[in-house]
Amino acid sequence: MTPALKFDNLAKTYRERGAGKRALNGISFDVEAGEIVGFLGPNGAGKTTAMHVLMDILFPTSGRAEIMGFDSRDPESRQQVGFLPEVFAFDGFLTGTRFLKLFGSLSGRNQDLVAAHIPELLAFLDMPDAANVRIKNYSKGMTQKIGLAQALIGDPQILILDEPTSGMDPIAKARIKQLFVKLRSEGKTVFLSTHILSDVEDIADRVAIINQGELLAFDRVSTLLAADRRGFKIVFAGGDTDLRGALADCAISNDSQGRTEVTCPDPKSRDLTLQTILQHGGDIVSLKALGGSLQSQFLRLMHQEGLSDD
Amino acid sequence: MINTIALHKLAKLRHSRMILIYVIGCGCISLFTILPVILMGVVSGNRIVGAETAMMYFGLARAFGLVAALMLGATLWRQDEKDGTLLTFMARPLSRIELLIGKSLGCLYALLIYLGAVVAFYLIAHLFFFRFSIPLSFTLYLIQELLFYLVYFAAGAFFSSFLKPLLAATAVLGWAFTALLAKIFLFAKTFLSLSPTWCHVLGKGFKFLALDSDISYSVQALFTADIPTIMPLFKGIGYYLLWTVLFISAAIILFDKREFAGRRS
Repeated sequence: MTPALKFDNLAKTYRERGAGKRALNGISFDVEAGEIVGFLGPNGAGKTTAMHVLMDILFPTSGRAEIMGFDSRDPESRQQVGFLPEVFAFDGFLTGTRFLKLFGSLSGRNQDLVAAHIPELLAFLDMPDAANVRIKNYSKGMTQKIGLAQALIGDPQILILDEPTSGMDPIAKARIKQLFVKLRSEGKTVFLSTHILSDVEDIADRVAIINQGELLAFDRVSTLLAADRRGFKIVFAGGDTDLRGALADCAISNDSQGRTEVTCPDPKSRDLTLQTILQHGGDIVSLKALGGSLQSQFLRLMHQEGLSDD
Repeated sequence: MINTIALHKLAKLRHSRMILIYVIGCGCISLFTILPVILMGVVSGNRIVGAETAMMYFGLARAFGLVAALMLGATLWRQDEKDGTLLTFMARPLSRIELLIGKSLGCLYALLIYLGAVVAFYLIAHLFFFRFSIPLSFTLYLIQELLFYLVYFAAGAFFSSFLKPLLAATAVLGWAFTALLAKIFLFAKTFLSLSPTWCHVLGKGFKFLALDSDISYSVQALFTADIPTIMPLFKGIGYYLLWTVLFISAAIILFDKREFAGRRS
């Protein structure tokens, strides 16, 4: 089956005075139709560059990018795409409705369908009163929402979104998450770049992580989380004199408050250790999984483990 | 789709504060310049003064139209790039050629409205004050005027492919100054040490580059309407059409090969 999006050894070097700046260094991965894929990386990693190559705003230095089997340079490739740029801006003199009608028309969708879709879309985005308000009077969050609405107005099969919830309030963010899940259930593809890793962890099927133009990881979220699991940390207080001896096989240390910390490598030893502590009269203070979050996996890949709260 | 983009461009121009200030400014200057002459002509009952006023009126309209066309060309997509709207258009299933043609068409509509307003004002003044017959060549003259605006619009668009708008406009005006070189070679050849043939060739060459056919024939044609004076109008139309096609084609090719930078947070 043709992938919804395909990056094939894609490289991009920006021409600058002297040496060029390499923004993408031969990244390759496919996004299948009907999945949500998070595109993660620190600032300047090359996420926006990759998205702009897909949208034919930038050209690849080598390799290629494809949408539904069409080369990104072919306008046909954007027939089924809704795109939201990182910083969305549009002519302030247009009202929300006129703006959406304009882009509905440019997407080639039937105008009656567009007109019927607009109130529904604005209501979902919690801005029904903004329909007849000029964009120049919108707040930052509203501007971002209308940007998202223009990406959706053509009823595209693929959404390419660069930090879609930037500037939105928590309620709006939750709604947008819901929306992505709903779109996936309709068989649509969502490819989103964001810095909110917890959101990606919650809804994405797969994650691509890049840094300095290199693809560091591309896998299912569950696989990445499992790979990052580094055991469990149990903190306890008290216990009889034999307790430490009973835990001899575990890594034991004392924390700053004089409590004992035990690190167990897997769920089986975790259960055994908990049982032993309780049998010897110890009080469990806390139990925490080490790693196993997208945040910690991301930091590990960025060689920033020290920033993890494990 | 092209017309949708064109109509949006026109609406954008209509809401541009810069354009509004420019139009009001040009209107005021025109009125203050033309009205005293019209009044003098009417008071003295001298129809010749009326004809001269018309020539002056069209001369001013031509100069203002030139600057407006140049501004429109130089900011054709540069303004959209600056305000961040270009990326949203580019994400639609449109080729870049369609996008640029749509935007150009929007500017053409604006220039047509400008020319329409100029002519309407002239015809009203003509009807009330001068009452001399309007020759058939008037239509041809208007076509030539529109193409004159278009050639400056297209030149602005071409130069803005690699220069910022203000520099692009300056470059076009600089280019148009080749008319001066043409005049030097054609009319002041006795002062030059070059052979008459070379002077003629260079003079004609610079004249071709000058983005201006000989306007004096055209305005004269408005009042005389005889075939020998209409012929230069056809020449003018062909000349402007050629340059417009050349500049717009080059601007489209360069736009198609250009990469754009989005706004960053």
